[in-house]
Amino acid sequence: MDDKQLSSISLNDAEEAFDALMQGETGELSKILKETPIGQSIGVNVYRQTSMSALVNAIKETFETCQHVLGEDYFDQCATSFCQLYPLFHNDLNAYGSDFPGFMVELVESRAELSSLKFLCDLSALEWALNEAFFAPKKHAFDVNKFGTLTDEQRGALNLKLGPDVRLLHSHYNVKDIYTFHKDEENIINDHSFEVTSGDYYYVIHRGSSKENFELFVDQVDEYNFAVLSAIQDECCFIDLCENFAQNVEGEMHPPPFGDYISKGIVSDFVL
Amino acid sequence: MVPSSLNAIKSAGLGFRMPHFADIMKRRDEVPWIELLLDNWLCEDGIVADRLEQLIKVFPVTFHGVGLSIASSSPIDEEYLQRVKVLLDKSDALVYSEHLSFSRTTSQFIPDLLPFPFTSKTLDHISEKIDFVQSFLNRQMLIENVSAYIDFPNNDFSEEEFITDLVKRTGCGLLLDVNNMYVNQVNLGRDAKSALEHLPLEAVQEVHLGGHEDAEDYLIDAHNNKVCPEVWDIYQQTIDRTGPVASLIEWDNDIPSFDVLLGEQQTAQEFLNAAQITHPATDYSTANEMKYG
Repeated sequence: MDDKQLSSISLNDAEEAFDALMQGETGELSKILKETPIGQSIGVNVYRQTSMSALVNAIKETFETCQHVLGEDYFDQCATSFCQLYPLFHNDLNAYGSDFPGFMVELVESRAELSSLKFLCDLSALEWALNEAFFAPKKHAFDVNKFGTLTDEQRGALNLKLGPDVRLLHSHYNVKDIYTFHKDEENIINDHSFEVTSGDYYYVIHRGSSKENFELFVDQVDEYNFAVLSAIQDECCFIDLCENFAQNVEGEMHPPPFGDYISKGIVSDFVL
Repeated sequence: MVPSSLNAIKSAGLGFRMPHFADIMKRRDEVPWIELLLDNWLCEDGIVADRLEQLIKVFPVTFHGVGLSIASSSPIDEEYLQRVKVLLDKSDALVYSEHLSFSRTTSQFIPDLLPFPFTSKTLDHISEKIDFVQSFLNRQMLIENVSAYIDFPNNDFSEEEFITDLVKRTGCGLLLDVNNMYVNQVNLGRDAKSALEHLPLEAVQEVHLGGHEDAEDYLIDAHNNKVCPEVWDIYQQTIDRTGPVASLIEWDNDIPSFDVLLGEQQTAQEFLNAAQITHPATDYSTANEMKYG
């Protein structure tokens, strides 16, 4: 019998042993346990498997398209490696996986068999953005009336705000097409192949304009609109947006299409 | 402190899971109350808050937490508890329950309900934390017995002795999970019938019923099956002693059709209807009011 078994086990002992278990070390926990009808090792493995599978399942649920591309077994191995490297620091599994896109970058760089799947890095970033957009707070409708009452000076100094659900993604691959392809079960069942093209792709991920609508959208925009929305995200003031992004249309200078952003719910507020 | 108000119901409810949202809203008359997994509903806005608003308009709700980690060595996370308080208050929650386990260590969260040694020190520590939580929330909480797959040596108490003392010291209520009792009987050799004789059944305000996975040599508390006959038997023995008590069907994995879930709920209700006939009414809520003034 180990020395620790001669005295009572403390909560700290138990916590340290479970921490070690999450790193794959079963010995720390085994040595502070007593024998049971099912056997110590079975019991320890149940905790190891249930805890790890809860984390892995959270990753699989969020990064479903990456899983389709890699295949379930390979993805399971990747997700398990991720979960061992990145512990859960809060108790919300829906918010677990923010580091997964970065992990995919390292994985793709380090594994020869993934050299033709470099788009996985951006695809995982798209899936994380969709997850964040889904769980984001409800947005307010843009207060057009209040905006109309502002003086020119106030208007010039204000900051437009993107909706809390809006995420911007610059990808080097057509990840929206890849994502959409894998969402169609017909393509999966019939084992259709998909086309990967490289270039500059600009995406706006959001939940649309309806306050009650929780449908997710991935809009592909051009470089100009992406730059405007990025400037809004970076808190560029209204007058600078108008000046820096004025467009020459048939000899007349026009501001960016703020009305379009507002009607789509991409811009949902402003602060003075 | 406000006592739990679930004793007013004493019927069979359902653990709500999101895939059944449309079904449960359509068939609301068949479900007397629902239990929500608290940690899934802490968002103050967005789709989660929207669904919650719709559910609490229609159903009496109880909240069952997994994130408090009452048996951690570290203090209660007050920021988390404040969010719990806001949710319970805005939802007019009948009950707040948590597990007698830990899920937080000093370095991480582990998504499981982990067991701990039943010692005098842990009893003192957890009693203080329950006192703190009940005082912070200004309401009674229920503590649930958990399933386990390992056991610690040199415990000062059996599980039922530990729970009895916790209830005595803190005035918390008991959420008795009869499936967990059966799982522990098979896995750890703890006798469920004997446990029922020693537990403070007068404190039981809710019973959980769920299915487990049979791994041949042991059972996993996976909440992925119908309630098995052995667990219905422990349930019968429980309500023979307690009389009718709010009872809940839990099904979290491999979620079946809503009809299957309702079938389980109706079976539990039949047990309760029979218990109603054989037991004179016992109003524990009055006893709680006396205790908490």
